[in-house]
Amino acid sequence: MAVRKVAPFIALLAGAAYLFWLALNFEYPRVPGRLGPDAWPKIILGLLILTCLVGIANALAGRAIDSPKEGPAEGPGRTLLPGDLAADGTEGPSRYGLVAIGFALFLVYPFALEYVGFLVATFALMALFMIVGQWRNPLGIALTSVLGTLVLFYIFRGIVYVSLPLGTGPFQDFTVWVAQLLRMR
Amino acid sequence: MLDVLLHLGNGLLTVCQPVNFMVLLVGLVLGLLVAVLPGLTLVMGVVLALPFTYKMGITPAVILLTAMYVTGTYGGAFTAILFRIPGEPIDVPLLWDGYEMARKGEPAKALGWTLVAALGGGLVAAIVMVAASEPVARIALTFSAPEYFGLVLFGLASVVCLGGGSQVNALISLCIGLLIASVGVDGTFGIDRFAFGFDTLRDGIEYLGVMVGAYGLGEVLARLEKGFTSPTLEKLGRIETRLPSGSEIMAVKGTLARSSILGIIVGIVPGAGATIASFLSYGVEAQYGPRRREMGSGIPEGIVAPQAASTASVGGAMIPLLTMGIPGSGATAIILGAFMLQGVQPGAQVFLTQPELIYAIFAAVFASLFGMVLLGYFAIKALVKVLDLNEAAVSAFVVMFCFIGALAARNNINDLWTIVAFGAVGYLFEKFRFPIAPMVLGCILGPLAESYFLTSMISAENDWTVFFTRPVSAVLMGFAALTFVFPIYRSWREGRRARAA
Repeated sequence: MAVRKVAPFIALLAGAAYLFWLALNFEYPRVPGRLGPDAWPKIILGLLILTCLVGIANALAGRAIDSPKEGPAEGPGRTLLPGDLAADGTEGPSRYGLVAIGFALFLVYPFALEYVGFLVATFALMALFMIVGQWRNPLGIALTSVLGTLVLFYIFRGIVYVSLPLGTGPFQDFTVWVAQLLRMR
Repeated sequence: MLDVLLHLGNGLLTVCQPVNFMVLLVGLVLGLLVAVLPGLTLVMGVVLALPFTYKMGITPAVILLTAMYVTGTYGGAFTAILFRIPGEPIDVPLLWDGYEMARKGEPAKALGWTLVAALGGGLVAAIVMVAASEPVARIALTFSAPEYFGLVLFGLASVVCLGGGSQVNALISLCIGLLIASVGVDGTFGIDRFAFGFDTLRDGIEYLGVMVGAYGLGEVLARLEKGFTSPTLEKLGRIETRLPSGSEIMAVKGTLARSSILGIIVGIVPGAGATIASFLSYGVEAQYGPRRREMGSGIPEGIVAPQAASTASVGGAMIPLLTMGIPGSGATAIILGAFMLQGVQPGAQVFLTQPELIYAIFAAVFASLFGMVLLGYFAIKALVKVLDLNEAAVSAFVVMFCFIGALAARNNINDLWTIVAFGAVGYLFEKFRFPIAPMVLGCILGPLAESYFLTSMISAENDWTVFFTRPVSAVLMGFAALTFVFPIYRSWREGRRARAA
C-alpha cells in the first residue's frame, strides 16, 4: 500500500530532477546581473522537487498531516458524501481493461483521421467507444454513430467551417461525395 | 452611476440583437443540460462549447459561455433533489436538505427554493459585479509588474489551498501546470526549453489542449473505468416547481444575504469556484445559522445557502477576469481562453477602452439569470429527459467534441496528440487524487507569472525585495503566504490534537 502511495511521488521526483538537470544546461548568452530563461523553470522545478519529497515523507510516515480529506474534489473520483451515487454501491469495480482499450482508441484516432478522413474515423471511433462502454444495443450504436457522425460533419464543416480531414484516395472521394449529398461546399 | 446604467442598457440592447439572443438561448439550454447530466461537469461543458465560438465574434462567443456558466450552477439541483443524483459536485450539499425536503413530500417546494436562491444570489452578485468592476479596473491600472506578480501568486496559492483534498498534491499539480507553460521557445532569449527536438513542443503547449484533454478525455476515461451507468427516471412525472410565498422568502432573507456575499467573495478569489462556494456556504449556515441544529432535516435554509452561493460565485468570478485578466474559477479560465482566441487579453485596458463589450457581458449575466428562471420553471421537465440517454453514447459525443475542439483551434492534427496525452494525465490525476484545476490554472497563469516576475527583477536589478517593499505587492505577497501557510498550520494542529487524544 505504501509503495502505491509513494510511487507517483518518486516518478514525479525523478522527472523533475531530470528536467532540473536540463535547465542547468540551457545554453544562452549570459548577461551579468540579469536572470536568464532558466531562472523560472528552476524555481518551479525546485518547488516541485521539494513538494515531492514532502509527499514521499508523508506517505512513508503514513501521516494524516496532509492526507486527502473530505471535500469537493473533482470528477468521479471525488470524496463520497451522503447521498452520492457511489455511496449506494451503484458504481462498479475498476475495469482497467476498458480504460486501456478506450485510450488505445483515442491513440489510433489521430492516425486514422489523416488516412481514412473524418467521416470513417469518427464513425468507427464512436461505434467502438460505445461498444467498449458496454452499451448492448447494436441498432442504437449503429444509428447513433451514423447520425452523430453526419451531424458533427454538417455542423463543423458546413456551419462552423472547420477544415475537417478528407482522408486519402477512395476515402477522400467518399467524404466529398457525402459533402455533396449534404449540399455542402 | 447614470453612466453605468446607460452602458448596461446599451449592453442589454447588444444582447437582444438576434444573433446574440439566439446564442444566449442556446447557452442557457446547454448549461442546463450539462448540469443535469452527471457525466458532464460545468467546466467540461464550457470547454466542449469552446470550439463553436472560434468563428463567432467575441461578443456572442463570451455570451454563449457566460450563459452556460450561469445556468450550469443551477440545473443540477433538479437531479440532486428529485433523483439524489448530483449532476455536479456543486450540487452535493443540495442532497442534504433538498433531497430530504423532497422525501418529506415537498419536491416542488424544494425546487422552488433552489429557483429563488439561484435568482436571488445571482442578482445580488450581478449588481455587485457591475458596481465594483470599474473601480477595481481603475485600481488595477495603477499596478506595476510586482503588484501583478503578487496578485497572480495569490491566485495560485488560493487554487492550491482552497481546492479541497491534499495540499501537496495540489501544489504538485500547479507546478506541473507552470512547467507545461514554460515549454517551447523562450520569448526573450530565443532558446528551446524542454522541447526535446520536437517542432510541436518548440511552439509551446496550448493550454486549450491541456484543458480539453484533462477535463474532457480524462474524465471520460475515469467514468469508463467504473462502467457507464445511466440512472432511471421513474419520478419524471412529478417534476414541477412551486415557488415559496413572499413571507417564506422574507424568513430566509438572512441566509440569502449571507450566502450571496460569501458566494461573491469566494468567486472573486482566483481559483475558488462555485463548488467551494456551495460547500462553504452550507458549512457556515450549519455552524452559525439560526436554524443550524435543524440543518440536514430538509429545511429551506439548507437549500438556499448552497444554491445562492454557487450562483453568486459567477458574478464574483467575473470581476477579476474582466478587470485584471485573472480567472476566478475553472469556467472563467475557459472564458478567458475564448477572449484570447479572439486576440483580446481581458484586463483593465479592455475594460476602459471597450466598455461596450464588457457591459454586453454584464447584461448577458442578468439576461441569463432571468432566462434560467424561465427555463427552470417551464422547460425543465423536457430537459431532464436527457438523463434517459445512454451514458456511453453521451460520452462518445463528448470524446468527439474534444477532438474536434482541439482540431478546430489551429487545424493541426498534432494538437490531437496533446489532448490524448493530457487525457491520460487527467485520468492519472483522478486516479491518484491530484486535482486538475491547479494544473490548468498554472498553464494559463504561468506565462503571466514568469513575465511579471522577470520584469520586476529586471527593473529592480535582481533585488528580490522589490516584492516586499512596495505596499500593495507586499500585502498581496502576505496574503499569498497566509493562504498557503494557514492550512498547513491548521492540519498540523489538528494532527497534534488527534495524537494527543
